[in-house]
Amino acid sequence: MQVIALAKAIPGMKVARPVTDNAGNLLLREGFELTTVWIERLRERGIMAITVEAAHADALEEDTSVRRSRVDAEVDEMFVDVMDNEVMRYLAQLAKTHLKARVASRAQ
Amino acid sequence: MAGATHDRLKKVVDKISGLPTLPAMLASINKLMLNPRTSAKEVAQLISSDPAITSKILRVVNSSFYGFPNRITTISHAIVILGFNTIKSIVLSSTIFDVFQKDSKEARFNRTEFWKHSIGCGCAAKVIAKTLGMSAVEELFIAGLLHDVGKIVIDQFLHDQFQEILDLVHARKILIAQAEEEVLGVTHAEIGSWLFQKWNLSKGLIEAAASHHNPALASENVRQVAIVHLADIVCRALQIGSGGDRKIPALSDYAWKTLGLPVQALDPIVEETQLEMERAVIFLDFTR
Repeated sequence: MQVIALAKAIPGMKVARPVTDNAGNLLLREGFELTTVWIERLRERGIMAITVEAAHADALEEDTSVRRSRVDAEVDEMFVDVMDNEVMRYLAQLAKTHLKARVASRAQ
Repeated sequence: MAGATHDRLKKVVDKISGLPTLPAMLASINKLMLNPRTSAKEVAQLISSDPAITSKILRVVNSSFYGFPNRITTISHAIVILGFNTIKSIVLSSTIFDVFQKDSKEARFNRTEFWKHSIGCGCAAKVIAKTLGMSAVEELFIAGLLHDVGKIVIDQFLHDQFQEILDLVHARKILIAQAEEEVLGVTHAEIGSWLFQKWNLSKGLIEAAASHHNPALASENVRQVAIVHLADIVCRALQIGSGGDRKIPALSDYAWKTLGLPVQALDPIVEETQLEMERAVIFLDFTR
C-alpha cells in the first residue's frame, strides 16, 4: 500500500486503509473502490491524502505520463471539424493548456 | 418549431409513457409566489413541511457554492437572504437528479458523468453571465444544468433507439445530436424542451433546451440561449463530465456576436468555470 495525495486519486483505485475525517468519522472503508463523486466528496471534506493499494500507485506514474501525451491528440480529434473558426482555435489551445495542467497537478 | 419537426417530435413522444413529474413542492411554491402578498414565512412553512427538500436546500445554501460566512440554519433565514426566486431555483436544481433513474442501463452513457457535464455547463453559464455583467445568474445555472435532460428521456424511455444512437456516435465519431436526428428525426434538444413545457418551466429554460445547438432559433431569450451554447462548448473542451459523445459542436457565429465577447475573455471564463465547478461539488453529491 502507498499514501498518495488526494489530488492524485483516480476512479477505480482501491482504498487500502479506512478514510476518516478530522472528527474521526468513518468516510470510506478499506477496500472501497473510488469513484469521481467520492473523490470530489473527500476533497470537500478536507481530506488531503489517502492510502491506496500499491498496484494502483505504481500504475499511476505510468498512467500520468501517458495521459499527458494524449491530451494534444484528444483535443485535436475533438476539435477537428471546427478549426476553421478563430474562437475555436483559441479555445482548443486553451483546453490543451488546462488539461495538461490538470494531469500534472494530479501527478504531484 | 417548424411544422415538420413538430410532427416528427409528436411521433417520438407519443411512444413515451409514464414520464416523471417534478416534485409537487415546486408547483406549490409557484402557486404561493403568484400571490404578491405571500410572506417569506408562508413559503418557509411550505418548504419546511418536506424534511428531505429542507435538508437539501440548507446543504446547498451552506456549501461553498454560495460561500456565506455564517451558517444558515432555517429556511426562513435562507429566503430572507436569497429571495423567493433563488430558493425556487435551488429546489429545482437539488431535486432534478431524483426525477430520473440514477443509473443508465447503457454502460456507454454514465449517468454520473452526464450530470457532471450538466453541472459544469451550469457553472460555465453562470460564469459567462457574470462576465457579461448579468444579474440573473441563478437562472443561467439552471439553464445549463438542464439543457441536455432530453438525452436522459431518450435513454430511459426510448432505450432501444438510444443504443442505436450510441452505436452511430461511436462508429462514426459524430455528435450525439446528429445521431439522434438520423435515428429519431428529432434531437434531445426538442425532446427536452417538450418535457419542460409539460413541466411548466420558464420560457427561458424551454428555449435554452430547444436551441442550445442553434441559438439563432431562439425568439425571446437569445442571450440566455447563446450563453448555454457557449457553456456547453467550454465544458466539452475542458472535458468536464461527458454528454455521451467526444466531439465538439461548431460555435454559432450568431451566438458569439450576440455575446459580444473578445476572444481573450475565454481565458478567465475557462479558469473561473473550473473553480466554480469545485464550489458546485454539492450537486454531484445529489446525483448519487
